[in-house]
Amino acid sequence: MRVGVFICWCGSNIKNMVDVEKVAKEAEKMPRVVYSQDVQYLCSEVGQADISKAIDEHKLDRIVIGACSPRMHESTFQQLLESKGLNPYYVEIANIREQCSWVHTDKDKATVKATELVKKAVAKSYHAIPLTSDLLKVNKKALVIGGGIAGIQAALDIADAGYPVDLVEQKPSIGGRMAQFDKTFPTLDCSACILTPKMVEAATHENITLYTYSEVENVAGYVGNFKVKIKQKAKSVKQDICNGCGDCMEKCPKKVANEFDEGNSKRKAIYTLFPQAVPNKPVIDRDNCIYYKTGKCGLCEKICPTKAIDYNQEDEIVENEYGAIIAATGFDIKDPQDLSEYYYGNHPDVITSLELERQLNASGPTSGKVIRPSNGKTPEKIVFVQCVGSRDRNKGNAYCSKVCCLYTAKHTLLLNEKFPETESYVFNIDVRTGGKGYEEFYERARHKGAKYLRGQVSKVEPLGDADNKLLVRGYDSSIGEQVEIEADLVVLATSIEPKVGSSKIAGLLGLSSDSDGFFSEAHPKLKPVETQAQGIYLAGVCQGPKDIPEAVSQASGASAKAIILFNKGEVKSVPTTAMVNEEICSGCMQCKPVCPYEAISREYVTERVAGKEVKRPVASINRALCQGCGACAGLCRSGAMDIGGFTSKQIMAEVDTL
Amino acid sequence: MRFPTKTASIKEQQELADIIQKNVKDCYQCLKCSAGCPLTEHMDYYPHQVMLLAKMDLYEKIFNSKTLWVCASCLACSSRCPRDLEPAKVMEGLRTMIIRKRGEGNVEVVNPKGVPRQALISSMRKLRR
Repeated sequence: MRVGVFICWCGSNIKNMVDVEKVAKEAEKMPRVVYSQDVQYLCSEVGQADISKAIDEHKLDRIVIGACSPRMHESTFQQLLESKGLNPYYVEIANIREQCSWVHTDKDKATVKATELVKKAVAKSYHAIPLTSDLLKVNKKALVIGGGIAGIQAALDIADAGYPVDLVEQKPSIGGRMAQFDKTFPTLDCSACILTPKMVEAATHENITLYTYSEVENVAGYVGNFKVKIKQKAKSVKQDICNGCGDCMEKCPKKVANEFDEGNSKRKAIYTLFPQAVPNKPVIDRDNCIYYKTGKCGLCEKICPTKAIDYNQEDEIVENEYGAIIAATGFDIKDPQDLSEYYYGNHPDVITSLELERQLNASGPTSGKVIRPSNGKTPEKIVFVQCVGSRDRNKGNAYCSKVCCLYTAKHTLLLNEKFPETESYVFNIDVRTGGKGYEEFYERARHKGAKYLRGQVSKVEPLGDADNKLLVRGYDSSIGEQVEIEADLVVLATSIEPKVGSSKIAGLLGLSSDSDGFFSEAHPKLKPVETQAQGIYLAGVCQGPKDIPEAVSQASGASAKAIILFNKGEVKSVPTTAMVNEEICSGCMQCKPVCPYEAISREYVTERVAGKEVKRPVASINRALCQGCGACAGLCRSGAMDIGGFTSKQIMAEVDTL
Repeated sequence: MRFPTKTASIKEQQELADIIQKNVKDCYQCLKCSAGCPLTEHMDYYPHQVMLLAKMDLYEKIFNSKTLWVCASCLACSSRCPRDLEPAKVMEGLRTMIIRKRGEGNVEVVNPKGVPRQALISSMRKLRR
């Protein structure tokens, strides 16, 4: 065995805190190390050439690298070894950057620690075993979870590339949040005009199957071979027979709050989500339908000209196989009632921005007229409050919701255009306009008369006058004075939050979420659409607050990743899987229930014992399913289970050297 | 300060715009004018506050302030304003409005669009006062 040790400077990242020359010298003295060197940038072409040259000259068969985290460059060095004809798992990495130079301040001590870490890695390398990965076939079909603009865009892109896509949406129609909007910043495009063509395209595309009013129930499998159960909730209306005439919705006697209008209008118990819904056929909301509560009514069935109503329809579980999954589960908005100083919920004229958006929308509850909910009159003085629950560690979310500054500017512009008699005041901490054309849009809002006041609102309270006005108290730091505004309408720019239920989706897909509940990407800069789970990608606000152009770009990026996977047609399996030593496995099968990937099964080996053939049970690993988590190895009582690349022998060798 | 309050009439807003040929609503309150003004210690409203009050149509407050007459028209603010709004010009416009209102102006406005030799004229007016 001939071990070569390479210590990276990482420019000044490591060298400033670790005496790399000394570590390299110390490494030379370690057993079986025949060559050692320090290199300025080991990951560069020059650095890799140094390793390559040393392998040839010194006939190295184990490489130990002291550098950054293996997460960063392990694959770089593995590829190098493979090109030199060595097994890629003959490289060991000692992390002397993240776990040493970056976290210490004493150079002498850090150098000692770095030397120890290298020593440990050298000891581990003695017991390295060659590992190989298998090629797995990819099922060339994608699942997109969430039918908002991000999900629709992702589905369309994959479908256009020629691969079948299933699009799952929990509401009765696709369209998502964007369908609720009136106009979009910074161009003031009509939201419906640019969204509905895409919705129709998604519904009619030969490669797209829509599953509306549906939820993902279970996800099993791995990249290229996911098995997914989708629950199609009973729509109670035969979708193939219904012609969408809408007579049932007209006659239905039961009225409920319309969630699409943020509860500011009524819909029927049999309903389509909005007039341009896709598919444009109603469903029965069984929680509110009189028939399902009392067994009486049945009016829709009587009136339906095509006999499409079916009260006995049942939820259906569809089981499909996919190669890739895109999560695009979207967002909800924070309930501003937690921030009681804004008086939301206690006065009808304090509304959220989304409620104002619905008012402005021509198909909204007020048909595009902006009113004071208390008396139906057009408001004159409108106060916008920014950062309601955003950038608020106390009662809200610590992050910036990103879109509020711009949609508020949009609202002031729309108000100015449609109702010139209105006056808009915007209380803000600061105005954030990162994005193409956004600063200019904000400028336009100011030009058109929106008055921006720098400071937060301390309190909104009823003025107690005949008009039922509100008094908004704030402070403008520019003028250096307390400001009070007698307002007709107060609009709260509420924070964006991950969709309720997205944590369940994260659990099903094996995704990690950040502390705010948004799904985590694999790398914040270089892998913004991938996740730690191979074959699962992210699109839209489920990953973090973003505007429409960003959500659409990310959706296209995610779909490109899925298309790349499908074009390749096969993926390399994880080589660092569990391995069973059948000779000592007792077949107790305690490992089976702890395996989260259902990769362990009971098999039988035939042995000759005292002249007789005996069958003995042992655990067996499905290497395609195993992800190498190590739960089984940690539990195995006979020590028969090991994880490739992290065998007990290797770990113990590391511990022993320390 | 409480809104609604007395704000400048549309006519007054138009008059200021005519004199300065700028849109005060361009101001985004970066505070650079106040940061570089050599005379702030003698002012009641700082230049950025004058800009904000002008933007909010609260001319009355500026008319009653000392700031307009303390301003030396050194044009430091104008040369640095990132919005190219020239706060000194806005001050001059507001001074002009006061003088016109009182009928005390002795400089006939020949060209209402634009203010020629601003620094010179403004100091003449102030000294006359």
